[in-house]
Amino acid sequence: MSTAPTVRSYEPETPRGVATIGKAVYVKGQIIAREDLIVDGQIEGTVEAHEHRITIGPNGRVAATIKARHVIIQGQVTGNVEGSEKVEIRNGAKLLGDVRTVKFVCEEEGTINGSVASLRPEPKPAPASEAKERAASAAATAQTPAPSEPKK
Amino acid sequence: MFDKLRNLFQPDEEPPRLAAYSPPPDQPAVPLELTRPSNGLEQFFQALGGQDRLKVLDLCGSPATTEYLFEQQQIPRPDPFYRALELAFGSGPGYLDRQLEEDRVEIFTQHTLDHKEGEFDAVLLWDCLQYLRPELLGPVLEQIRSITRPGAPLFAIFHADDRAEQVPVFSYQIQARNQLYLLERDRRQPAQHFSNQAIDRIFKNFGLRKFFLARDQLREVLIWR
Repeated sequence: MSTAPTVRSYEPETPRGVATIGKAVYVKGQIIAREDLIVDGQIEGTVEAHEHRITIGPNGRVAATIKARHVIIQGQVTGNVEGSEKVEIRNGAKLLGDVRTVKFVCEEEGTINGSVASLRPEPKPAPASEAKERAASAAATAQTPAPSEPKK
Repeated sequence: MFDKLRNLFQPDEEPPRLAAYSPPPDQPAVPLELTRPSNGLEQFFQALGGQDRLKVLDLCGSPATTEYLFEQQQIPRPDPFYRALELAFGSGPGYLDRQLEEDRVEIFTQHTLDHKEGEFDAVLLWDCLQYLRPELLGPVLEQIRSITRPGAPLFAIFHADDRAEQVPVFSYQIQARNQLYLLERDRRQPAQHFSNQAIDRIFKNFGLRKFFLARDQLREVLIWR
């Protein structure tokens, strides 16, 4: 009688949809991530993950501009950081650069040497046709004579 | 701790002197912490005139203050002033003498207040000026003046006890528009004691000065550039 073969599955150490740059890795150049990214190594250049989260781990040493939806810094970063949703500076983290974000959190032992500006969504300019219509309607209103007194 | 401090600061009692903050040698030092109302801070915010997105230089750079200013729609710019002070001159006895050494002064100026001319709309100086010798204080104030725009408000705090040999170096955290939380992170000998006249004198190149009544042995001053 034979038993069914055991299927051994490979479980990655990081959850699915998360890329990791390990602490023995050095990257120079541009990184564009289409999933969450954990950086525990060294990066020089730019790191972007517009719709995702970038975490700079405690061993991470990054000399780069970082752009992501959500940025968490636990290591050291030299460069500007832009988080379209949130930027967090955790205890022990060091950031030398400016931050632009919607929500900003800095833990008591986090260090930042740079300005922290609010990233507000820019108001969208009205389409040209709509603007023309508005201008025309404004002109028409201006030319309309004031209503005269009703004749008795 | 807070209740104890509140009791200490009852108005009908003799206010505690900063010298008394030094614990007896056989007792471990307990960092002093206190929450205090701050009229000076409230008027500092009023001086911002309800404008937002103003660049505010913060020489204490506590994360709580950075977060508070950010939530108020300002642009906080923490500056590592105290860290530069420690890095260049150390914190132990003799740090004031080391402020006379040129190479150390160079290290200090490389690490702090290195900003563009007229960059800031307001400055939170806290008590940092108290730890500078007159030889260093003059150039530092001139640098602060050059990096702030004319009319910018500056908020400073001075320890009011002229007999204290050591004063607590606080981490100043803004809790509300008119409330500060102070946490002692070090004690050190002040470089000089500032009377109101002395404060007036060091800011002679600035504009209007407004002094607030000293409380908890701390005097708040609002200065306009």
